[in-house]
Amino acid sequence: MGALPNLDDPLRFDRPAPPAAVVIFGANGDLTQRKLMPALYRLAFERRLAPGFAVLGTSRTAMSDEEFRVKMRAGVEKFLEDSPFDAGLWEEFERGLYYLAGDIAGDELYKALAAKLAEVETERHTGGNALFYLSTQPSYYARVAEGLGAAGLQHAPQDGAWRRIIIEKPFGHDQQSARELNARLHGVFDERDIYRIDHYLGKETVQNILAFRFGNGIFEPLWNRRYVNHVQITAAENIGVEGRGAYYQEAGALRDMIQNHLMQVMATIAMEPPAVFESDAVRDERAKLLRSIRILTPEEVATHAVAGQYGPAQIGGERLAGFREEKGVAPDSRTDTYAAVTLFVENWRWAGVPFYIRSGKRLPKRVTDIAIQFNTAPLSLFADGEPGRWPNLLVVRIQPEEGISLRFFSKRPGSGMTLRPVTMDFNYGTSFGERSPSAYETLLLDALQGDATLYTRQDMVEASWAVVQPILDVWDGSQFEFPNYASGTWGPKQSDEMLARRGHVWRIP
Amino acid sequence: MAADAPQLLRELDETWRTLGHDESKAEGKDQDTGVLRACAMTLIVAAAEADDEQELGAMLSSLMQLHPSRTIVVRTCPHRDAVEARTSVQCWMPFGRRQQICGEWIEIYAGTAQFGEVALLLLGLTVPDLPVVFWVRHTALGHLDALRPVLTLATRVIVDTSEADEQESALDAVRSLASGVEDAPHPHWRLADLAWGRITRWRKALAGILRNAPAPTSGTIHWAGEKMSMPACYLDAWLRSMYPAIEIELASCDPVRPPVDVGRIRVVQLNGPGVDVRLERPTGGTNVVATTDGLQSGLVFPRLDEAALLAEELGIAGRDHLFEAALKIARTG
Repeated sequence: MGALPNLDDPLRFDRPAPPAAVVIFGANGDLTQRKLMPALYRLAFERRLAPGFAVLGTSRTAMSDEEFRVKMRAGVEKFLEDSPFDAGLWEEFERGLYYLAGDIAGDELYKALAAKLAEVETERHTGGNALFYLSTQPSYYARVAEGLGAAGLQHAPQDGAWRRIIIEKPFGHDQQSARELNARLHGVFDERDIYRIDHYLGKETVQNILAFRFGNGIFEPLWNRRYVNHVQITAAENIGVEGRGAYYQEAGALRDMIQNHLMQVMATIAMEPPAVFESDAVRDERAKLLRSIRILTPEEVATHAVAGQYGPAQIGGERLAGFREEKGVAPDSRTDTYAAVTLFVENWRWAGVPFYIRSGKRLPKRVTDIAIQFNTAPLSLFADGEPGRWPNLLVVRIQPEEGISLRFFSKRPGSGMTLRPVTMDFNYGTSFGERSPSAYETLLLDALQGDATLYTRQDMVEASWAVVQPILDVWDGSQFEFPNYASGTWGPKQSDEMLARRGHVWRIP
Repeated sequence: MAADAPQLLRELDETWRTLGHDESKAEGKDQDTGVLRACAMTLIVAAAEADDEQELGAMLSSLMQLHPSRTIVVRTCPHRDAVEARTSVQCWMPFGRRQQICGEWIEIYAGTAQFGEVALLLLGLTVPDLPVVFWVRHTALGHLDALRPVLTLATRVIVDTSEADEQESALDAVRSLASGVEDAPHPHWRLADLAWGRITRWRKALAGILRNAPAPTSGTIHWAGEKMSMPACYLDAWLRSMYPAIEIELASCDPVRPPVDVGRIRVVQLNGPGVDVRLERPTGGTNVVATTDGLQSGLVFPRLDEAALLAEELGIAGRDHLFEAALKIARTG
């Protein structure tokens, strides 16, 4: 047979996904119904999936294939965001849905899974490719991987086919457990087949940071310690733990948000340009950046990190419970519902530039953004010292309104030289008008295509734990006067003081 | 009014001032409200007098939300003896926002005898430093020599032969317009045909199915309507450009021609040693059944309007080599 023609049209076709079976552990859970199945259905709607596609769900609950299909349909109809449900398409799609009940802690499930997967491959022509998605308690990650290994499911039945595994954060509870988890996963799967999902990296705006930085010529020359005064990364939520008190009590803001999502965002903002836009080249640069972050000494933790916990408040006539009053939370809990850290990157580009990162619950609004504050003009030529009060600011908004804005000065019309700050705004929704895929759509498709660019790698996970662990160690041995901020405020005053030491203030997003 | 480029631009400027003033007064604030002027290109639309003004306006407005532009609609009115023009802005309020986004809109009315004058007018109306896209809504207009000066302004020329009755002459017109592309090494514009965009989803489905399959040696393309369908013609050309040895039978399977947004291709069947693929769309339906070696799967091919097709074309940067290759070998029977 001669060489086959390349039928792809990169100008018009989205990247194709190969035939595959997605095996979901925890298929009866919330994540599957709310996120995974709507994302897979949406990919089918967009014709991004190959005809040979199947989903094999498994969980402890007894269910037939048909019952699983009915349940998944209900989930898709309910949780499908900003797109229509097409009953005709669903009929086709659901033919590829299968279910197997079993206990992930036992051995029997994996033997049965091997047999069922072989059946599905024959029926659906999935080409021997399988993507194992672990939507389970994190404590089961290693067990499931080892179960798959014992059944030989980590090896594809034929040449050219692949087997991959996706796990959700948290990737360990601390540095030690992260290493242990990695070691056990590597006992079964190669690192290149392990996809650690961080849905923040799947967000359009986070991906757009790379386009913004490396697709334009004018910003990168400013992207260094000579021009950047400091960087603020904020991930604020206006809600509390909303029924997840028991889980959150074990995690806290530093573990739940900063160690993973926000440090990956920081790495994306601060990394060096990769030589090529390929998975490992991009991830190498992210990992290098994370390894360049200065590790705080125990003495520095007191001045470079702040923990907070929200107390009760009366907002809009409604009494909001404090964290310690939430269901599943101990009345003397020391968990941080707010965390702020000051980090420094020790490389030539960023030496001396503080990166302030904060994340918290029950703050005044839901917002995630990155603000790059530039140095002021070297001389103040104009009255009022206005430019000193309003330095140039580049804000990358991740949610809720994805976009980028640049603040600069403009002369007010009229006589005299009075300046006023103005912003130039780019808004994703209004500039492109088209629907952005959800983070799960992007990430699932990437995993099917074998593109791990937006997934975190072992060395990235361990490097970010190396930064966070000394803070956790100090906090574990500290007494905090919690609660130390009221719901609906921007966090504890110690956080403001942390910035004030360098003459900075938190911006109000 | 008689058309004069500086005067039209002054009118637009005045409109912006008034709009900004009115909006901020209405909101009682001077920031975060008002209107946002959005423009990513100049879009020149050559329309015929008979084109439904409301329908065309609605379509271009919806396109403007995806690709903000200064839209200039040139209406050819054969019996008009003067060039007239009017300006306006098209605004929309994105969901959840307080600020309107607006794009500029200029309509020019001219007889064919005044096209030289129109070309000069357009020279003064294009937005500096941004691409100029020229959409010739009716291919016959592309034959007008008078339009050549207008075409030379364009970085991209878009035609639509989907509904052409005389396929030979439509192909000739497209190839003639494409000569701008063929004039390498100094092409003036890149040519696109919306009829090619109508087969994107068919090509994509086939590419997915045939990715690692042996080359098909024979095929069939069936369409609805008595005369040859241009999208079918392009699909045939694309398949032959990919598989030079393939023999494809082209035939109408239904004399009733469906509305253009439904699409006329009904069946694509490809066969050969180790390959048996059939894509079939039932009459008027949006679902397509793909059968590959006996295994069925479903696809959705929603109705395609001009706005969606234009949006696809405007989203493409660079030359479309696959289209150019197919255009070279396209046949009409």
